[in-house]
Amino acid sequence: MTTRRDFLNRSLALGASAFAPSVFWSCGNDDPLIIGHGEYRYRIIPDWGKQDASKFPVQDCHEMVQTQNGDLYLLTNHTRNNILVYSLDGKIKNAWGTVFPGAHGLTLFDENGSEVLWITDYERHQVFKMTLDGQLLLTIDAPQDVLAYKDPTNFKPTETAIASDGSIYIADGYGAQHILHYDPNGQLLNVFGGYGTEAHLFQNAHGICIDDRKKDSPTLLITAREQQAVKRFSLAGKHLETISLPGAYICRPVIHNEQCYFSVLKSKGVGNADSGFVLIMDQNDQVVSCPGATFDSENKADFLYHQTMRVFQYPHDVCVDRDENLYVAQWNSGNTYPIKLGRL
Amino acid sequence: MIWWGLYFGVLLFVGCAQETIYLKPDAVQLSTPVVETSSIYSNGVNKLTAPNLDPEATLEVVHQSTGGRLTMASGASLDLELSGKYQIRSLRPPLQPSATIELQLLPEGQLISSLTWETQPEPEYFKGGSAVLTDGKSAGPSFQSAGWTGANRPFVVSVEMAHVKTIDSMVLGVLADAGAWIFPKAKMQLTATSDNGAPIQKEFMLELPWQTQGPSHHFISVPLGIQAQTFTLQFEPALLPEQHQGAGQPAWLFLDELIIY
Repeated sequence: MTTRRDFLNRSLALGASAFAPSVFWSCGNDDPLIIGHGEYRYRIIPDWGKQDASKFPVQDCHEMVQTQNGDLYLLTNHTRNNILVYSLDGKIKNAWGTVFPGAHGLTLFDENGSEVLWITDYERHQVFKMTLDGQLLLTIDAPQDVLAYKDPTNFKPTETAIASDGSIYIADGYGAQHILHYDPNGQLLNVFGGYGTEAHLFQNAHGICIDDRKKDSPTLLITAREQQAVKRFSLAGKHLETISLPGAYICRPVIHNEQCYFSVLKSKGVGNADSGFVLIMDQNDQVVSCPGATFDSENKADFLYHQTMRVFQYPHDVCVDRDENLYVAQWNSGNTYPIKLGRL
Repeated sequence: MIWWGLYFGVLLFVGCAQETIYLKPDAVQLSTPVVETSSIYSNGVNKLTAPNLDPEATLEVVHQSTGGRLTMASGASLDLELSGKYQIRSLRPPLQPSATIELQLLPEGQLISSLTWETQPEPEYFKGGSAVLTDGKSAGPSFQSAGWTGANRPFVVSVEMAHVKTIDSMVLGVLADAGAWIFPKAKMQLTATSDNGAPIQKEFMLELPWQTQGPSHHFISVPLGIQAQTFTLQFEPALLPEQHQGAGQPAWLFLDELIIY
């Protein structure tokens, strides 16, 4: 199958070979740093999304998604503009949102042809369904009939995942570590998970997504960041397997085509604390590339995934565009804007 | 000809005007290595390893006082024979060298017969038992690593030597980690009995400059100047300083090794 990325690559190569003299390519682009492994290698464009901070300030850049028209939505906890809407060239098209001090999770869902955003706010202890231009559609509060949330401030949601039927899964990653399942109208259907070290429990259930790569049997992928693992559950909440990634404090899983991408907040085994990177797994849950970090193709038993070069500080999310370029949003990284990785 | 020149000129202009600025290797720093040694002493059998060194990087080890420079490939080990401080970093041109870390190897001290915790540190941080202060091994990079023991309340340790000894000084391995509320500042009271039965009591303030960076391993040297076979040390951790978010709360004191000279 020819992908859009293959087509563009071929077109560019053909165009270049036909018209461009070699001097055309030497305009300062010589020898960029290449990171990643195997087929998943990237050039780094650090200033892609850089803005005038007096106009469009950011604090932590938590998550990022791409809409069908190609725009990229960045969620930050800066209440001057919780959402920054980027065009692909890194310019700001729109900015909105002033009421999400704990803005953390951003999920895009196509609801019968109309795209909506789901935002979690762990400081407000709420989850919000929004239109792309910032109109509030639905609010989900802490579920009072769940014992752990008698005190609603125990509800600190970090992420949502929306199933094809519109039902909503919320990961309470900074709170009681439950996974809450709601119907599309916000009625609670099921609660599972919780804090603990057993296979079906979590230490920092930070991110969640629907893994629909097997179309007839979608499952949930839920990161247990402090446990450096991602856990697979059935949609009904039954633990199916745990994929361990020693050393890698993975934030949320992002499915794109057949791959699953993770930002890794930090890693073990190096001396600097700001030791994050990006990790890519294939459809068989095998790690195939670690931009900015080591990659062990031999799967040694004592191997620790760890940063090797300080390209990133604390990556908190990775957004994959239609051409498979990556955008890395970072937490606690000096109010910096997302870094673009151009796929080779 | 002129038209071709104009054509290429426009191409060149457009190409440069729309230039994408990619990150270059010489703008990126290698990650800071973590090293391990088989001993805290320069006892001739000290092997240094860097378990997670980038496979393409080299470890550079420079002895601070002599300037002697050793290099080590990833996966290898180095014998360190000299005591003193070593400056260590990883290299992989054209990437920027990593930050430099410091490793200190000490001359072997006098043999301690036994060390007893009169009041134990926090059980959670006492997994290595009493031996952690006399095992001659360097503790790991963080308080969660093996080899550290600590508390945020007063604790007492008794030290016994084989015979009456002249004790000139004592070196303590300590951890600094502001983020984990670990601050190497404490009042240390020494109590001993001299040869003639006279009580000895001395008080010292252990203190390293406040630093906000991540975990780092240091040594504090204390001049004791006593003759004794046994002595007790009472540690009273300080309060966190005003620069810290927990200012006024008790700081944690984490110890690695206790060496008598």
